[in-house]
Amino acid sequence: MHAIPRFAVLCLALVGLAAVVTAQAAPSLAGPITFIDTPLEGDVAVRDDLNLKAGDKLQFVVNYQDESNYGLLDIAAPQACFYRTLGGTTKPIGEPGEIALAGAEGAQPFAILRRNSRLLFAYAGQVACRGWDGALANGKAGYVAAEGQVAEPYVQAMEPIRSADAFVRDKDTLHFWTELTGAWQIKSLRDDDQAETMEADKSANAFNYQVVAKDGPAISLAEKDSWWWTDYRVEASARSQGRGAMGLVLLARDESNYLAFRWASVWDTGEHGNRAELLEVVGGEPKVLAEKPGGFVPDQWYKLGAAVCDGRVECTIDGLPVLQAPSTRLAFGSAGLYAEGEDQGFFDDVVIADYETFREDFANMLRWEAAGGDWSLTNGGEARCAGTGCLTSGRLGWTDYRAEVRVTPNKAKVGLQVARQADGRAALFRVDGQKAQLLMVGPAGETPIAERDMKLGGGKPLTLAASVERGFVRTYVDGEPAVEGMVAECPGGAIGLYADGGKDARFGQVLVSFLEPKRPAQVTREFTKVSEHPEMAEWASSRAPWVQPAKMEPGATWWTKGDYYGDVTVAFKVRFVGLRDGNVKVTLGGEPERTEEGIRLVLSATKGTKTLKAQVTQGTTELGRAEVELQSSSCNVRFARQGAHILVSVDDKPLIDQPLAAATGAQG
Amino acid sequence: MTNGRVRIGATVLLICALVGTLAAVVFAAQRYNIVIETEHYNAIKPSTAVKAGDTTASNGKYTEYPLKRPHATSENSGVQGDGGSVYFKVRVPEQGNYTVWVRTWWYDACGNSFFLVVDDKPAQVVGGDGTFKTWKWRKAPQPYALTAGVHSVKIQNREDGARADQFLITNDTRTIPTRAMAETPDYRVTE
Repeated sequence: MHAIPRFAVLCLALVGLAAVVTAQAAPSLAGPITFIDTPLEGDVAVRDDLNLKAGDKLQFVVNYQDESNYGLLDIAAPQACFYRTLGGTTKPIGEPGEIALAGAEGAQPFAILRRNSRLLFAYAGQVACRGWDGALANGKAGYVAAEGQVAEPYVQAMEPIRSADAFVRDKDTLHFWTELTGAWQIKSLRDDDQAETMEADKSANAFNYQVVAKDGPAISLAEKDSWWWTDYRVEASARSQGRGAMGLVLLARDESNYLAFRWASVWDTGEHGNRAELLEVVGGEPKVLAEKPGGFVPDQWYKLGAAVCDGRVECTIDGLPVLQAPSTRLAFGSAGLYAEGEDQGFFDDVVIADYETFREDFANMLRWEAAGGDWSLTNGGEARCAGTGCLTSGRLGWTDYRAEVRVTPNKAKVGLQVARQADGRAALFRVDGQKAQLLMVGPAGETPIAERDMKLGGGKPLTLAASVERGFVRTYVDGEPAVEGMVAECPGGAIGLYADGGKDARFGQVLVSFLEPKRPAQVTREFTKVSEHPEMAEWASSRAPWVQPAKMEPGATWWTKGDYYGDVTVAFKVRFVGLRDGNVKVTLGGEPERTEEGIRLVLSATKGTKTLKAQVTQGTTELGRAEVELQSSSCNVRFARQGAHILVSVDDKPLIDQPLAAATGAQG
Repeated sequence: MTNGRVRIGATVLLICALVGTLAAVVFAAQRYNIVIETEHYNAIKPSTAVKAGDTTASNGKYTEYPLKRPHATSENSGVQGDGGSVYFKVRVPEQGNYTVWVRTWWYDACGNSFFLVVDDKPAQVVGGDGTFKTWKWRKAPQPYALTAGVHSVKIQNREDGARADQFLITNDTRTIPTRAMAETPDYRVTE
């Protein structure tokens, strides 16, 4: 009599165990997929309202291409985890997470976001789990509803975040901003009590966004409709007149759920005064994630910045980092402005844009793929390699970035790959005890690009870094420049950790950060109409105007006034190739009186042929010469000094790459 | 007899309830996203002009309040725009509240808005933000209560250098347009 119940219990236990194992290891689809929309390219979000309860089972598919290739969000409430099936093999692509069911009664907003290879599942505005899928990027979305209710899901296409405001407009056209709390208005300094002090008559844009926060924090959000914003940065100029606080908000859903970078006045002697804080406000309850003493000086303009990616927040004041902390609860939401206190606060020049970093502390290797070698995790947050191989991650679409990794070679050759392509081609920065090398590697083997002797002590940990910018790779060991060169075949791509020949090469603390775009010098005409606009004469000066030649004749050179140090690029368009005879001469690091000291590029074209000839000289020495056949009569040319190299490219294709001794000066 | 009448009455009520429910499901669930390319206008008035060759615009074409030299003088004179406009007739399938979005491109802070005029309703200013030289959807500040039938939409010049690629009329509060959208020619009235 007792055998059957015992058997039943045993069976149930086995089924339960099997379910757990299956949920953690590789769940399969629990039924037919109900597709939500047609296939979508690029980044998307799946959105619905759901009433999830503990025990509910639900599956969502994303990036679905066919039955052997798709991403899966497996929900067994309160647990949730992302998986990916590639070529029929399923594996987890993120740590399991817990859905915040407590306090979330009734139908709650639910979203799955796919952005820049990152997957995120949020319920009631809070992150449940994250994933990383560097393989599948497009496809259909759908769901398998077993017990949970899926009412009316829809797919929201996303696009790069790019938003700015300098508040140059009428007071009645403020609809870009949603004022959650506080009294906000656009006002001109010219209408302000401070107009005389601020010399508003000299301002080209005297408008700004002003606030008074009498009843608690004042918050105004930019583009609140764009609820799916994640992984972005916001910066704004800010000034406050008194004892309050000013700041920025991120991932804001409403006045009770947001992240705030709050900076209090130096005059504020309260508990939260005279300091910078990073606040996480969830359900109206603030929590200080990070803080630093020191407040702002009233009536002084500052540039505040805050950025979030992968649940990590970084805050800056005037470009200098002040606070950083993980914030894992809030999923997505708008960016905006923050103020406290009855004294007036001022904001201007708001910029919101995409932001991405990639960090790895090797708590797991879910974001990495091994290509050779025996890779495992150490207990100390490192990836260990025995044998020869590469551990890769990142996105093929990465360009213009810097990667670094902490390495303990332990008798192995070790390295860092950047600009890695799908077929394995990459730029490899490799070091052993004796030398540093930059190589082009791939299925066809190794091609040396640059090499130098570099004595590196035995098993001592090293920080290897490599940057890639338009195919030009620069490398560093412990911050010291090592080797550099052009790897034209690989202008950008993923990263790889490389080990060769040892049994215990260790890698940790991986960080990928993206290079700031180059800012063009403001090459403008001199302002000369001072009789018409006398107020402009005092402030309107152009940073780097061209100096007109004394004699306007063929071959006369226009020089820039500015001095340029370090890397510099002159980008310009050449027209009428094949239609006229002629040449263009551009000089880097020259002086009008001593042209022989500069680096000169001469481009020549002949009527009747689309061949553009290029020659680079330094004084009387020819550094390089090449020619290219154009498809049309115009082309875009870049003439650059990068590190100790001179680079010439035509329509983004490298033409000349030559090493160079250092040079500075003007451009002509 | 009484029982029979009750039965008939109950049946009629049940049928009415079913029909009502069905009608509510059918009609309440309709979400409309009406997308029109601005180059597919019914009428255009100078200086508004159609331009082509921009690969980032939908179909490569858009309408523009051409940049003037000197730029932004109309605002200083107190008159906004030059009266130029592009005009459309659109068939709205169902009465309701509709939000209008315009996919626009701004030259600078003095070339970043249009007037939007729907039927004979007061003009709204679309734009005024500071994101320049990229296509982006901008929402009209106030939604419109529209009847089913044909309505006129006019995008009128306000600041030179402003461009319009598409506009969207939607009764779906979930719709937040991002990229260029596929046109819905069925709602365009061409006569």
